[in-house]
Amino acid sequence: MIKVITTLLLITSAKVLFAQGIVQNQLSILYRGFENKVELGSVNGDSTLRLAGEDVIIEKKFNHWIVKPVQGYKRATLFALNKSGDTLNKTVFTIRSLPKLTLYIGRFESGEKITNFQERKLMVKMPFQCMIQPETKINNWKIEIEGEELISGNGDFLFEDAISKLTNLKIDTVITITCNYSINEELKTISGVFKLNL
Amino acid sequence: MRKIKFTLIILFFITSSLGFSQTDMAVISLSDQNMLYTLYPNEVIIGNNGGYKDYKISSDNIKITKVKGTVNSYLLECEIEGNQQLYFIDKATKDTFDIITYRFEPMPLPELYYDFRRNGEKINYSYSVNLRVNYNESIPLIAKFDIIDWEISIPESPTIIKGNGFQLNDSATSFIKNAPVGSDIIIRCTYSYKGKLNKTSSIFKL
Repeated sequence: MIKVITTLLLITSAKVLFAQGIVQNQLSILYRGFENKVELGSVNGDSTLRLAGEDVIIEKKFNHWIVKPVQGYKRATLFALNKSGDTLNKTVFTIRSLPKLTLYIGRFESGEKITNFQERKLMVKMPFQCMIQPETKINNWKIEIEGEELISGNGDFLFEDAISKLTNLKIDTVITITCNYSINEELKTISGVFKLNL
Repeated sequence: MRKIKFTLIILFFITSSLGFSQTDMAVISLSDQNMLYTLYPNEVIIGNNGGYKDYKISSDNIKITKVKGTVNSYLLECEIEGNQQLYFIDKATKDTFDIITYRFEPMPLPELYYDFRRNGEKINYSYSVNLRVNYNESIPLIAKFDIIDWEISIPESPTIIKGNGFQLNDSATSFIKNAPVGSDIIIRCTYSYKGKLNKTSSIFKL
């Protein structure tokens, strides 16, 4: 009896622990050279579905799949199959290259003219149209003009001293901001170039 | 009697299996891709992997509309940029069994077309020109934009010709007719999508 109750409890808690809402966004795309994480579900909550595909490499991991598009294709098809092998969903996904991470000051992207410092947060991210935004954390930054350091600081925020130095510079001055940041517990460096038009 | 029972059992299995194939549609989720567009009716298919058969989705700021004639397709619309949560709620127990966070970003800027000519392309004088604001084929959004007003200029001249609506007026077409060949024709316009105004521009070579 205890065995039965324990088993039932285990099944229930597993359901609670692993139950996930699954959403298929019709705008989703597969990124080239990237481990696209795929999860399956169904209207009735079937947890026994499996994934198949054309023009992709699929690898099963715990409760999801990693899908990598094969080089040279612009589209790939993914299938969700039930235990009997019936296809319950067939979707064609567009394949795109993953954009590069870029440095931003607020809404200003590297390469743009800065017209104000209403937002002073430094960010390393994909262009905002990218479906994926990896988590990054800026540890420190320095601002240079023609290779000469103007000011540097820790964290991801341009503090008051930096802003007052920048606002005193001539219009069309080009500044380079270099940041050390972490992504997936790895330390990296990124630079961004901005023209001042304050 | 036995025969009837047997037939009934067979019928039950056939109908239930038909019902299964019709309603149990699978959902393929690229789960790291949590971006949706503000103002836009983002279409999604909803499911779960936890055996929940009777559940609903809800949100504080996302307007959720079921797509007619579908089992589990919904349109998600939100006017506010930033993160919004989508709750999965079991109808029987009222428990929220999952919360998915979506990042709402503004819709991409559409392109301004001179008839069917794109930004950077060559144009010729024409006495009747329609301006259009559309997405090019690289953006998979379907949206209808209305042009409210426009202005035309060339870098060599301080003159700016202005007008309303999607059609260039006579002043604009004669301005283009009289502009030197090879000029950059700059057209800016204000467009509207669902009542929200925005601006876009294109440069054409005459």
